[in-house]
Amino acid sequence: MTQGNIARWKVKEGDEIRAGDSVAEIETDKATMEFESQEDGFLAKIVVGDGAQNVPVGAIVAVMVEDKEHVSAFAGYVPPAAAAAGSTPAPPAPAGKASSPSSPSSFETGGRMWPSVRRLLAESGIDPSTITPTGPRGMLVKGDVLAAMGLCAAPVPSPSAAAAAAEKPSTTKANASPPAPPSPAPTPEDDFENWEDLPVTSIRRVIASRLLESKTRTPHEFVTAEVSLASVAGLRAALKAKDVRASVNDCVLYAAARALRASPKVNAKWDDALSAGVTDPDVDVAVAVATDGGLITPIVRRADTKTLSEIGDEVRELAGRARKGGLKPHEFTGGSFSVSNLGMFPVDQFSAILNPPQGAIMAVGRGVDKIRIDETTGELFDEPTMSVTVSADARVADAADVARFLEAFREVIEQPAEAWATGA
Amino acid sequence: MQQALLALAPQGRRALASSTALRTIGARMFSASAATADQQDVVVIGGGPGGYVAAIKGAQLGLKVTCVEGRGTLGGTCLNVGCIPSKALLHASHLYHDANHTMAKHGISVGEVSIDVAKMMEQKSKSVSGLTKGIEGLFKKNKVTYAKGWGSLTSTPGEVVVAKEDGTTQTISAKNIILATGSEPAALPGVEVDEETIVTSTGALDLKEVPKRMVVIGGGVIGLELGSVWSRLGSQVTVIEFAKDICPPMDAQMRKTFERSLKKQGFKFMMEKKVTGATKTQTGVTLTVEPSAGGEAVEVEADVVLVATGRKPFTSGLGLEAAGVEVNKRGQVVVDMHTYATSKPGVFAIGDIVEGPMLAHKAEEEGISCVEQLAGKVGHVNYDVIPSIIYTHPEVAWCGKTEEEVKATGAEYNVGTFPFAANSRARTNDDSEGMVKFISCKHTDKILGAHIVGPNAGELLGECVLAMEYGGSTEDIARTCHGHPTLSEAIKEAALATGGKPIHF
Repeated sequence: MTQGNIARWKVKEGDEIRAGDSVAEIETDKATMEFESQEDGFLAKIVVGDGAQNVPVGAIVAVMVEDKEHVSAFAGYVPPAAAAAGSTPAPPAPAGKASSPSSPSSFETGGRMWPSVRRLLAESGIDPSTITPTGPRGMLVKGDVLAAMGLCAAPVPSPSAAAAAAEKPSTTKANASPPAPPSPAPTPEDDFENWEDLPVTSIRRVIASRLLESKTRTPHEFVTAEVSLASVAGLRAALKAKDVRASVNDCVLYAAARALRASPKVNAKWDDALSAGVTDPDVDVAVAVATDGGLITPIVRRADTKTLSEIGDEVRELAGRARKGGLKPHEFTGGSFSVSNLGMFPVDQFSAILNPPQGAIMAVGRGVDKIRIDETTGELFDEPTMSVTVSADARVADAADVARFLEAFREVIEQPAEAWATGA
Repeated sequence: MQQALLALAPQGRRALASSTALRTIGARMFSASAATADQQDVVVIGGGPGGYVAAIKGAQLGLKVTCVEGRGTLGGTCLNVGCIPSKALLHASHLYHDANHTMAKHGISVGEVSIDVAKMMEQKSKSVSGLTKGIEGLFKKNKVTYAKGWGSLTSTPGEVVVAKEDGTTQTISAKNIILATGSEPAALPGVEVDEETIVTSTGALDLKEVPKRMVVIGGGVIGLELGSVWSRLGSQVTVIEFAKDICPPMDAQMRKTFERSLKKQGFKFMMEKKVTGATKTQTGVTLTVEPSAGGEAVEVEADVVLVATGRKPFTSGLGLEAAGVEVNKRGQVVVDMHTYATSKPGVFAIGDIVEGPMLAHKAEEEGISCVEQLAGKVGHVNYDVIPSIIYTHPEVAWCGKTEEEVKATGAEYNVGTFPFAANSRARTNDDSEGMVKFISCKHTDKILGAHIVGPNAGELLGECVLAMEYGGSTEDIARTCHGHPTLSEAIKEAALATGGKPIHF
């Protein structure tokens, strides 16, 4: 998003604002959104009023202050001319804050932020409030941002970071014992409401913000197809006899990769700069793996050129390392298509959220035996089937493109056993 | 008097209701003023950096504080026979050395340069007494009661007995007691100290003339600093060290640079040797020296021998056994290193008498943390970020882990170094021996250790300590503007060099 319109302000100058209040309606080129305040305070000055069009991201649209007395100080406030995102000088005293819609790069400069942190936030565009600080006294350190960018493991919180967290509720009546990590000992009265606060890791925060962005800013369309797993069942049995492992998911990946090669609209992504869909040169299939820290998607590069065994071995190796947190960034960043398989659960069908920046994702359900009638003989037979649902970015591929991809997918996955390049 | 005592002790643990009790209390206090009759919130035994700082802070936080010190002056070892006098002599000897060796190069001719040891010592004493009197002034200003005498605990909780110079005793009642009695030089068996020819640091700070030959037993900080003083003034200094390295806590790479510099200054080193005996002769002292592992002995002659083999906690006469305060095998008072509580409720201990580096600033931090907690606030000492400084020239300073320590944890790390020879200011000053070294986490760039050998190392380290206190990375130091031309640019360049490339080397 590079610019937006202020549809209307829902508060006026002088009003008190609580964190979570919706203060304005912002129109972007995709939707009209509520702008929620992250902080408590008072609206001191509206700089850009109702109906303003094409306000660039990073421009100061209003000033919020902590104390009511400071509201009047901004009566005649005019924002500085240079409103470049990320490096706006702080408005004159008292401590006012610039509110601008959504852009994560317009944060406070100066103050308690290391230069390395500032640089990394500006380069990555990550919103600092989504990162858990591990530095002393609740400060963000370089390692925290690197971890949020997926470039290193999350740093170990320093002892005084735990102390800072424990001190936050006011310590007017402090104790002589050293600051303890925030886990209150349950008392008998607490038993009914005993709960445990699990700290949110920075990985989950990033996942959360990325998914929200994907779901709200991309027009998802969903196309479901049912395919027969009869051929796959036969293939797997034959391979097992030769002592070769091949899972249903390996076959799904193999088939999807080859189908993608023939579907340039599905193996594609939306490019904001060009305002058009762009086909990826390679078929790089990301495989969703559930780990303790959250969902991660290691990528099988150029999957359309690999044999079934190669795909299987690579997926197993990547998944193993993913569960231990041992993937390198390039192994899970990027990709042209994702496959998410819940077939090991009693899930027949589901729709997945696109994995930015990809243009399509396939959600795979479980194998279900269904009774069929043979058209020629009229006899009943049972057939293992599977439902797959492709979510696609409607700007890049329309439903027909997706349907054609699914046709190609079905052709491969239902092909006779000998046709599979197994490499076995 | 009885009425006054009743009025002064509203929170007293002892009920002053009966006049019998009052008479008993009155009878025990000979030279007591009305002020000492009331119970103190904190009594600090020891007026060194740990003790006097704790006392002043406690008073500032609103507590009733008495500080007990028997030396006759405040400031402890540090001000009287440690940090301060040694720095005074290091400064004087540095000036003398400059006059003799470096001024000519800049076109300054000074003719015959001589040293008047008595005058040097007089100046040293002046700095010392100025500072110790200053602390007395601070006590008055902050309303800390100064009890002059040797304090000790008794079997009665909350009681401190002060043995005064005139032979009388005073008993002070205390809600809390902080022990801060510091340390004293450790003895070396076989080498008897007389503080004239065979001296500890105390005697070495008060020699009457420059010894022709000085042998320093112990290659640690104290030995090297004092050896530096006399070496600059003209002594031939030999250091005899038991281990294979001087200054064991130093980073090995930095120690190599440091040792090379000391050798250039004329120091001689006998490593992995132990001194088993010392005999005073007409011409000085003869030492019997053997290899550390045992073996053939040799004799080494000296005019003055400095025994600097370490320091031990000073707890004699404190009454710890009677009071039930636990002491470990090394003579240290056993405490919880967060609250400084000893095994006896209401008794705390800080500084050189508890575990940890025997540094004045460490004692100060502990003193402050301890009284802050006693005053109901939160106190915290960050033991990972305590600087160590050696005041030789070039100076040595470091904070955090050495490369060896980081390697031992198995963590992946980056190293960045920068020599002062490439620093404009150091070159201009013609004082460019040494280097700066950073060790940082390879993944997060967090600074794990900062090491400096060079001019003003102790001052330059301050920036690194601040960064480390806030979990900073080398990039943070590299991206902060450093003035030009300053020595501190070497810090910036070493930070740049960590995991990257310096500009000026």
